[in-house]
Amino acid sequence: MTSRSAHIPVITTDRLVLRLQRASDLDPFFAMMTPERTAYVVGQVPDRSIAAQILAKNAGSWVLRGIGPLIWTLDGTPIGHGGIYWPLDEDAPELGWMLWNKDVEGHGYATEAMTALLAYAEARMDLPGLWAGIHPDNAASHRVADRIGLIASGETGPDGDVIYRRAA
Amino acid sequence: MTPITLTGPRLETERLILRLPQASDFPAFEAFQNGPRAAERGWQMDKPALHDFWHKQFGRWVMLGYGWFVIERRSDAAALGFVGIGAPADAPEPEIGWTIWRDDAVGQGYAFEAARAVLRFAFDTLGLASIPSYITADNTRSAALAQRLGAVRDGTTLSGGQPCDIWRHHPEGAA
Repeated sequence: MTSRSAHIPVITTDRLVLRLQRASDLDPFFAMMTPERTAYVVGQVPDRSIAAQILAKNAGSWVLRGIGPLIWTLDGTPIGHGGIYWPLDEDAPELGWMLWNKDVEGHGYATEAMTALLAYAEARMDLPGLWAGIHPDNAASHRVADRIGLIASGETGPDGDVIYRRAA
Repeated sequence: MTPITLTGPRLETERLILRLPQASDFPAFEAFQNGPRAAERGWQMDKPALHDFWHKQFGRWVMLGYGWFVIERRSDAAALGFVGIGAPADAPEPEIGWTIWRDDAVGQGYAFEAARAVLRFAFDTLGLASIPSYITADNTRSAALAQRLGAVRDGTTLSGGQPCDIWRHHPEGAA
């Protein structure tokens, strides 16, 4: 009786499948939220119900904005998530991404996924003021930002993040 | 902005249509949330929290196949409130709940009519053996409605940070 919306994309890249968050992602999503993994991103480890609400909220973005983050899978296993975060109360869309464990770092997966998500979005809509905020010490994410065509704008976010914007 | 239309179940009753939320329902929801009846219940949210909540309602349908329906009145297509299945942050299981947004729609039996249809959806379509409603002790109006719907008291729990009575609905007791 319930049909899921057919308009939310499944994006296939060379090595990854990027798809909508689903209920079975909650356990691995919550399990990866250790202090080490979240240090540069969330700043704290959310409890399980907050993690569930983050997933639901991110899924809702696709309905309300036509864009949002997706879960990145490698051979069917979730290894990360990210995309475009643009809640209705925010003027400018934000890029964000996260790999879920150390083993999948350093293979270019984040670059591959974010390149595909950006291409999907930019082909369909304007993204005025697109930005990303990256912790000064988060070297891996600074490299990803560089590779997907972002440049450090010289601005600093309220929490000390380096603000990146789309290269002109 | 290119919102996507979410498709899913649509329930019909004598006076009401229960359909999935759409982006255009937000102003009515926001007006209720910022009004005195939401304040009485301790349901006020700041703007980011309100938007978070709104996004989540869509995401729950996409991820789980259930969520809040908007109660639409057949006669004038007005969005009257929410009814459906929610998953409060700290609660042990999903609950059936209802909120009438518009003051002029309170006290006309709309919540009863809508909740009865959602109970049938929960039992017949989702196949749930029972479903709770979490209601604070001072919300006598909702407790009375739960009783009218056939629910029975089943202990207490925390829901959304508030101590609540559990009113449990069963298929055999449903009104």
